[in-house]
Amino acid sequence: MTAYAPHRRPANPDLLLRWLQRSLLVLAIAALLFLFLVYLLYTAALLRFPFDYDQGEGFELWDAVLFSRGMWIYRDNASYPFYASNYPPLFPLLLAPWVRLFGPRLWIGRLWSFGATLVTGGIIFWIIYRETRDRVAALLPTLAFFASNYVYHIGPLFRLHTTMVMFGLLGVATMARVEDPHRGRRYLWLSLLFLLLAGYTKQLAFDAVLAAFLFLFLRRPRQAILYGIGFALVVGAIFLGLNVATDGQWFLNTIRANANPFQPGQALGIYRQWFGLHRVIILLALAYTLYTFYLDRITVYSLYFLIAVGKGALSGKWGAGPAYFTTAIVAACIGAGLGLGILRRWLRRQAEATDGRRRSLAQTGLVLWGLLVPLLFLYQARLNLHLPLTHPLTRPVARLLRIPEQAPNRFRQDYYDTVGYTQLGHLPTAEDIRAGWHIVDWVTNTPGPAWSEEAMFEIWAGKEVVTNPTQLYNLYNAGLLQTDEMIAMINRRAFGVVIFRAQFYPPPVLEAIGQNYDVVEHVPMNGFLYAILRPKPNP
Amino acid sequence: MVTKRMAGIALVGLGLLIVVATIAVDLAGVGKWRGFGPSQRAAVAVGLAVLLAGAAMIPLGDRPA
Repeated sequence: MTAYAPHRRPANPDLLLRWLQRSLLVLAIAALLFLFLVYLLYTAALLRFPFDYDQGEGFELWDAVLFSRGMWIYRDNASYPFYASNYPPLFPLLLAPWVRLFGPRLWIGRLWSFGATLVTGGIIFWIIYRETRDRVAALLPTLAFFASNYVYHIGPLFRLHTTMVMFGLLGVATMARVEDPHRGRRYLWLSLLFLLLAGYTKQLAFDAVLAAFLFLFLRRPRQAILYGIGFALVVGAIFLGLNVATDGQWFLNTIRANANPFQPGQALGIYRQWFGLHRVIILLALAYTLYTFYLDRITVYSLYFLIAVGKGALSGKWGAGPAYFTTAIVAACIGAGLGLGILRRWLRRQAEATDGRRRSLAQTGLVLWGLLVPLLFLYQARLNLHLPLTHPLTRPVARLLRIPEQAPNRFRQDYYDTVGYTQLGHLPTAEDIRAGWHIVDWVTNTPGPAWSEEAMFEIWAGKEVVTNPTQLYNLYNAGLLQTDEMIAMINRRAFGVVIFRAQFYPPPVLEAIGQNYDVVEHVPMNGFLYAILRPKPNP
Repeated sequence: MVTKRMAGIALVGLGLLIVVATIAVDLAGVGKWRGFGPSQRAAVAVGLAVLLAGAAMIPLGDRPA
């Protein structure tokens, strides 16, 4: 007989196990919440930064400015100011009233985009929780969405991508309810509206549209064909209307200009990186997808996942990048959460079975679920680790994780990202802001219009935005741009100052500028080197 | 109502299309490069995966997709 000391009790293994599960869960949530904190710090820094952080932001603001003045954003690029947008109109239209109210400020669109990611995260949680009633299965993938490096990089930018993702997800989530006996038709109409909004925010929303209609076809083929034709007619009518109203510039600038050269190696590289960074949620979502295909009914979410992953192939297009995988990350988070929730619900049911062996196996399964799931998401958080190295809130964590202060492959030494080299994610500094105002001074103090590769310098100087560089570059490469007028103006030295960063302009334009303008200063800002050029003195 | 078998047949067709189109690119001489490159190998792998996934659905018969 074993004797115990009177003041000691044998340890309760169930209690220890539960404590371990809860501790791992707290650890996983803490790790993911830390990355959400980093996201908030990044957003706050960008809201304070008055210049282009990502090259296209100022041009999307300018689109909103033009709309607020009642002007079209699809114009003839061959005529001064040689500017047109290459995106559909909804995003700048939504922001135009706010620009009219607050003035042309980047924080408007950045706050909007950040809000769109919060809405997206909320929908992810709601979808998983509504289907599974499992808070843990819903919370961990939702936090994993915000932890994603790609979502972090583009979340609070004045770019339309996150708004497209939000509308697309709303379209998919409402289509999922199309078989509701009382409100099915209402959900269907809502879905069509959201999908239309998504498509006219950015052309890439076709993945949500395809997933939604394919799902409707699987469940109600006749309705899918009928509503599909109707949807196509509405989309087509808007398309034609825009093209007629803009004298053909809509089609030229949003379709033909976006048909850029395709580099398969670029797509493969991004696929590899995307998988490496998100392998936990991807594999869980894949398991869920296989479950729906072979053991249950195919859901709109498994279709959304497959089509969004397939769409990632378009990231091989010139000018495209990892942001093209944002929808796939959303879909993977949803699939992962649904899969985990369904698994735990099944294990719980099995744990109440009359068969002793099945009950015992299910209980073991539940224990393993409680231990492995937090560990998996802790691992996912580590895969996505990114943080500024000098901020007071993140510096202690960087030291704890022994992240080196210097490394050869970083864009900025004060920012670490498991992506490796990335031009996004670091926090702009007060020095960057001072440099930006110095460049604005050049634009303000030189007579005449400016030719700037980024729009914010012109906007702050109260001048017209001249050129949308990558749009001109793409149109020129497609043989769709007349450069005579712009080269004539450059030869006349009509522009008081030229500001370059990456020099993404048609080669004849660069040549003309080289012949007529001299570099007078280089200004480092936000990790890039801006060249200030002034007209050469007359011979 | 679309069944698992119908969906499986559709996927088999799609997979075949991807594989054939990827190989036909070389036969038709489309693109700058000759020979079977990594992108084409990836595309064929995807096509075969889709084909096999579809084939595995066919035995599920008349169950609703």
